[in-house]
Amino acid sequence: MNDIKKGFHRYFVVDHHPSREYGSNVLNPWMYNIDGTRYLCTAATLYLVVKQLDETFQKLSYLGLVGALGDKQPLEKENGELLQDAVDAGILEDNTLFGKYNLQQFVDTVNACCRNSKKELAMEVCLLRKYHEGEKELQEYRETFQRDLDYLTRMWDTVEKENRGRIGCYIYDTRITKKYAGELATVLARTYEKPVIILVKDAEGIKISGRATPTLVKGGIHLGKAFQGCGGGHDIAAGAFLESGDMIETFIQIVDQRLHYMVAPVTVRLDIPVKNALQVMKALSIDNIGYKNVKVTAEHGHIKGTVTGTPGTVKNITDDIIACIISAVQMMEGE
Amino acid sequence: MSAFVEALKRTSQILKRNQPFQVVTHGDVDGVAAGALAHTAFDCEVIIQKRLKLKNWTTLNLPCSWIWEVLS
Repeated sequence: MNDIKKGFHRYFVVDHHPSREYGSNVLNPWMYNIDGTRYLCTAATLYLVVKQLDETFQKLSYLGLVGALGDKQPLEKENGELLQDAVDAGILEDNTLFGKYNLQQFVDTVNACCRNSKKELAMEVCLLRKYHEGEKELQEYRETFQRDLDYLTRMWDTVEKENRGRIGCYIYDTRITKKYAGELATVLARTYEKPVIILVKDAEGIKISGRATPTLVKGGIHLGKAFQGCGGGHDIAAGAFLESGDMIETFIQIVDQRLHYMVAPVTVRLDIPVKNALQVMKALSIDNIGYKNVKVTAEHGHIKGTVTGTPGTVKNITDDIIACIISAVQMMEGE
Repeated sequence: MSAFVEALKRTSQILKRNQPFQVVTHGDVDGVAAGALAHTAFDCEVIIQKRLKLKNWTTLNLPCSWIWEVLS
């Protein structure tokens, strides 16, 4: 953001990546506690903006859906509004766009154009032009992607050996097609349930794509935070860039240390003064069913306990316990 | 009305008032779809970039620039 502020007199940013600060010339779902990583991408956010201007723009809802599916977002919650608009506008029926394009195939075609560095063609396809040209890119993309994926799958034992002791699997291999690194990392992360970080060399330096899985994110992994300093992005998908290959070892060391801290078990001690702690505890014991590594007791007007696990899980459980205490106290006050 | 809906309305008015403008967007599916949306709704020029290159952008001397998808 600082670079943008310096570079432009007048600007406005529409984005969906989480950030530590936003500013007045920014529209980002995260500013309003909407999960932009999972339920509202940039195209969808912009669609909701233009929809305010004119209801006839409802027919553009398909572009928000394309952006959402391109970012592997489910079409629910905030994205659900776009899905409904597309159906209401009569442009989407049985997953078919405008009566002739299958929605997912359309997204794959745009994606293939982007990955094959045919960005203008990707734009044309989005504008419902040159679709057949786009399909040729999709065919090429699928063939090359599968070849690279087969190669990396065959090499996986070696990759794991090279990354022994690390939280993430770091792959730096010149045989991988550079532009497919992000997609390959997505498939490998899902297959092996590990954070996968692929580094490729391009004309400007080292491009890095990292991908995790929903389960890993639940356990505390946040790749965007791990890449801070030379990149950023979402918890589940992030990118970084190094100007020189000499920086790779340091990058891996720092990022993996951060990932380690994100998943290393922690213990949180609770000591909360509560009126009628014993009665509150009875309510808590009902809600605690299913929690492991949680010990909570009532002692002399306090609720005390410990929660142990990965930071993400501990945070969620601790939040739940505190919410239960508040709700039990409020309920008793009401009585 | 929620704060987010207010922000959507405010942004739509800012966009409407400040035409013409250029869009600089990231070259992934979401970025390109956003660019296509902006192009259709506002008939603006869309510049698709692989990654943030401010040095190049500043030479464009844009009257008003709209940027999204900074990094992914």
